[in-house]
Amino acid sequence: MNVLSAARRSGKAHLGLREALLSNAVAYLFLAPALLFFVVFQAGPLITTIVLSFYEGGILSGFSYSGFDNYLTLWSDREFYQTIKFTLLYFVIIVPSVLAVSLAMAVLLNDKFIRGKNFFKAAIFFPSLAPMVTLSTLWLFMIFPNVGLINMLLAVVNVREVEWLSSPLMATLTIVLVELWRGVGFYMVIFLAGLVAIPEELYEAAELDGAGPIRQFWSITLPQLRPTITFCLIMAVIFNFQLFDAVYMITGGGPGGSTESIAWYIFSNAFKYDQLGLASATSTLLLLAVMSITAVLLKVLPSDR
Amino acid sequence: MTSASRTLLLRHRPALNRQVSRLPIYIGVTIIAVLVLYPFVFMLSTALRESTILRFSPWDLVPSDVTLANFHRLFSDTSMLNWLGNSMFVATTTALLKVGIDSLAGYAFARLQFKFKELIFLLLIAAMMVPPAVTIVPRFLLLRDIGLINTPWALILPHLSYPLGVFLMRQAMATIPYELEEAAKLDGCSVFTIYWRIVLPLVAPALAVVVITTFMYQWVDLLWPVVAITNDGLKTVTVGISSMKAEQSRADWGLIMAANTCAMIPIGMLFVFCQRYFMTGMTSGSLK
Amino acid sequence: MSAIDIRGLGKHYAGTDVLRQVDLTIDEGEFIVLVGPSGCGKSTLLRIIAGLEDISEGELYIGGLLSNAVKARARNVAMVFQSYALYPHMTVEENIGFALKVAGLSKAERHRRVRDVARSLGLENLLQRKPKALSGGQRQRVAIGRAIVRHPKVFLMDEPLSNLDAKLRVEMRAEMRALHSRLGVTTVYVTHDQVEALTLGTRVAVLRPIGESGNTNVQQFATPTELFERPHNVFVAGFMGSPPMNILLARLVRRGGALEISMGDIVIALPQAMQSQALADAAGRADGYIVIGVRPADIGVAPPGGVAFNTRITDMEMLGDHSSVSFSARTPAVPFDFDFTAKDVYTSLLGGSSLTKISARLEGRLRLRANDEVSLAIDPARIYFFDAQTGLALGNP
Ligand SMILES: Nc1ncnc2c1ncn2[C@@H]1O[C@H](COP(=O)(O)OP(=O)(O)OP(=O)(O)O)[C@@H](O)[C@H]1O
Ligand SMILES: [Mg+2]
Repeated sequence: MNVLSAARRSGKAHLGLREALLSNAVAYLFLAPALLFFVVFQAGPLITTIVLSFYEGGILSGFSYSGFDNYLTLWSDREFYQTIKFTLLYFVIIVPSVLAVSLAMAVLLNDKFIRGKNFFKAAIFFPSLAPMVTLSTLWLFMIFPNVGLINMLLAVVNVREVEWLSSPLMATLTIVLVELWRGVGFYMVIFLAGLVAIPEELYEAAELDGAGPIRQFWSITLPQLRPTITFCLIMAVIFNFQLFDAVYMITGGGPGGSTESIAWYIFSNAFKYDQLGLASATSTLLLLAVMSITAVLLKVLPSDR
Repeated sequence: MTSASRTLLLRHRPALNRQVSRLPIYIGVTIIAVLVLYPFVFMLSTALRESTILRFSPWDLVPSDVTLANFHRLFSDTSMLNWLGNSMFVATTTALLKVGIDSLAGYAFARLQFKFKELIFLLLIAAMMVPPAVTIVPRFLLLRDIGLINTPWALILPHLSYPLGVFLMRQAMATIPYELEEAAKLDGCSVFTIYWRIVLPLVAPALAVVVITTFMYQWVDLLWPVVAITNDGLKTVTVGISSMKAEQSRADWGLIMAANTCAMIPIGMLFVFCQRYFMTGMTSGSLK
Repeated sequence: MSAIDIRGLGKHYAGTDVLRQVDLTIDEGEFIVLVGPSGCGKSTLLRIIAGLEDISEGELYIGGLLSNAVKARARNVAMVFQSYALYPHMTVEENIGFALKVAGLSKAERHRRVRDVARSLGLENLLQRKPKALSGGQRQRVAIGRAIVRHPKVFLMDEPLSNLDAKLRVEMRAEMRALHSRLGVTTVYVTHDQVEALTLGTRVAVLRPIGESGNTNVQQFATPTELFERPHNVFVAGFMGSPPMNILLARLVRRGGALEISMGDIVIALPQAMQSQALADAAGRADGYIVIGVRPADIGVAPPGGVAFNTRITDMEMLGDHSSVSFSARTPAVPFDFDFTAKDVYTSLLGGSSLTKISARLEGRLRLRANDEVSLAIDPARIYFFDAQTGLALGNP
């Protein structure tokens, strides 16, 4: 009753400006913690990164404004050039292979007559939850000279011991294999979710039209899966730009700087050589690369069925 | 015979025949599954055997002399117990704080009206694409300035800014019928009471998804902990293991495998008990 | 003091009007039914009373207090939703007791009141179940229980029976009446089913979607008997009653000194007592046209020697102790929701089809078939007359 008479005393006939402000205030109270952290740890640092990219120096040497010097340094840095080269090579191998393998596994496991589907799905998914540190360690163990499983297997078929980490190409391949091991299960689960959503009738209709499994894959599965493929492709691009752990654990960027990922390059410049300005310039370029590639992918690939 | 009748015949082939025709698939996925899981079994097997035996057959998976010697050495010679404790504290605290923060924000985006809603939402989406390495330098400088580097909070606080959980929460909450909240309003609930007593219980599975994925992410993260923690006693499990020099030729494999086994224990448990939660967490991003 | 007083109420969403100039005064303890076709704003009006929608213009008083700006949770009204909106994560007991818990009542008190309500609704054995494990009728009872446990000032119900099957709906109707007479709480009940409206309401408000030029949604607000016997206009006449009233355009013609109604080939002479000046004037303003309404039950088989007309049956349904018979008249029909606010209304009716299907409910077990010739009669005293220009009633029976 008190509330009612209070409302009457206030004599307001409509929900007015005060209520509008009040409901805004309530919403922002709900948002406040998330916004606070977002501003402090995402938006703020993002702007600071861009600003710092125009400064030279680091914690020990102090910062001084240097215009575009950092970018010019990068332009002529052999190591940065190597980083780009490695990143391109790595992308060209990992993105198609991880998507193709995971899609293939998903299509095989989506067959409704396969027994033990959940076991296979879980087994293949399992590594994507493991720390990259562990995956890398296990992989190092597998390829360890003499005792490693892989070299033992190769010895069985009379191939002489492969020096996994001594050539740039083999080192890159080593990293790709670990990332593949981790990634396949992840994308497979997403593809499976997409496959389940394809209406069964489409396949039944195609079967009545006399289309075999391969025809069905090309003319039903792939087109129907387009949004999922787009999503996975974008995820794969964003994820693989973050490549760091495997490099840190397995190659340390070697041999001869041939496996330095961008994140590694930023990390080592910033925290090994105290070149925070240069690292920020690299970060800014990385940001631009991710944003523009994602934008292009979103534009080029239709995401609707 | 028309293709239609052929299909009918196919469909009515006995189940055994059907399984036989899928033999290649079984063989293929079994090989992949074995390849994928084999190293983990190997890890466990190495961790549980006398570490002096370096040369052994890859088929010899079950050690004849099971021993916990490697674990004894691990806990007495390294700071592994500390590392496990640190990781546990960081991952749990982050997960709990994050689920609170994200569910509040998710509710605002799902149900409340406010100015700049679309703009803020768009910013959050854009931020999801930014690799953490991009902001690593300013994040380090900021946390150093406020004296949090080399504390667990340096790992916990930045993670609270990742927006994925907000989306998961918003998506889950948007499926609740409006009428439930209206009924609660008439039952005398304030906005917060509706959120707390009606909405949160109804999105419990999504809350679990946020808790578990956050925990996992923090448990396995490496780049940021390597930067933010240098004090040996404060390291997380991943940083600790990464400092165990597996690439050296005199590596102590027994010890290293025991350490990795420890790192895998919570993951294995979550995997066994909560598998469906990561799967929903991942797939809800791809399907609208 | 009236329980609810609505004055000049309007509601618009981004340019489109849903409610306009609604005035309703509801007394303490009434059972008011809001009825009307889909989209006429019934739910909107109910939700405004609940406080779930804000008011664009006009005033809403609950218990004499201006309540436009009072929050829903402070209004002390309870609502039963069409989907019941039971909290899925709570047991029946928790669902019913939730409002009491929010209000801070002690556990013992809550328990006592929930038990009382559960007993009165026959839910005692279901208290520990979750809504998912209940049948439609049981859910419905829980929703009602949740509303009555709080002793609210007003009950609001939005099509609470529409998810039940036909038999259960009839049972629940009786229970609703019993509940209302037991508790005596002012109730506003929304339905699009006019049978529910007539059987439940102490008074019924017939609503109509607001057209381009309509003044208000409320077409008539009266007791069921009055609505049925003295509909205020063509809309109310055509909406209330099942099967619906036959409404058609007719001519009022003067033959000798007497007035006759001519519906194409069917002509009915009006008795002396009904030849009012008002009728003649209305027809005079509309080129002799007038709208008439006849309920199917008011058409019968002609008694020997009565005022009758011959016609041919076009369709026939035997329904046990009565038959539904159709025949045609050569005159345009008037749809019940015809827009009389436009210009030259009856001429637009003349432009349409000039053959109207009339249905009659004939008592007894008739042995008729399609194409049979019959002699039927309409009791002139039971004919409803409406102005052909405005659609408003003209001194009806
Ligand atoms: N949020 C909204 N925005 C715009 N128009 C709305 C909104 N809510 C309702 N309307 C419109 O208001 C009109 C009345 O809606 P209301 O739900 O009150 O109808 P109703 O009489 O309850 O109909 P029904 O019997 O179908 O439930 C409809 O034409 C509807 O389209
Ligand atoms: Mg409605």
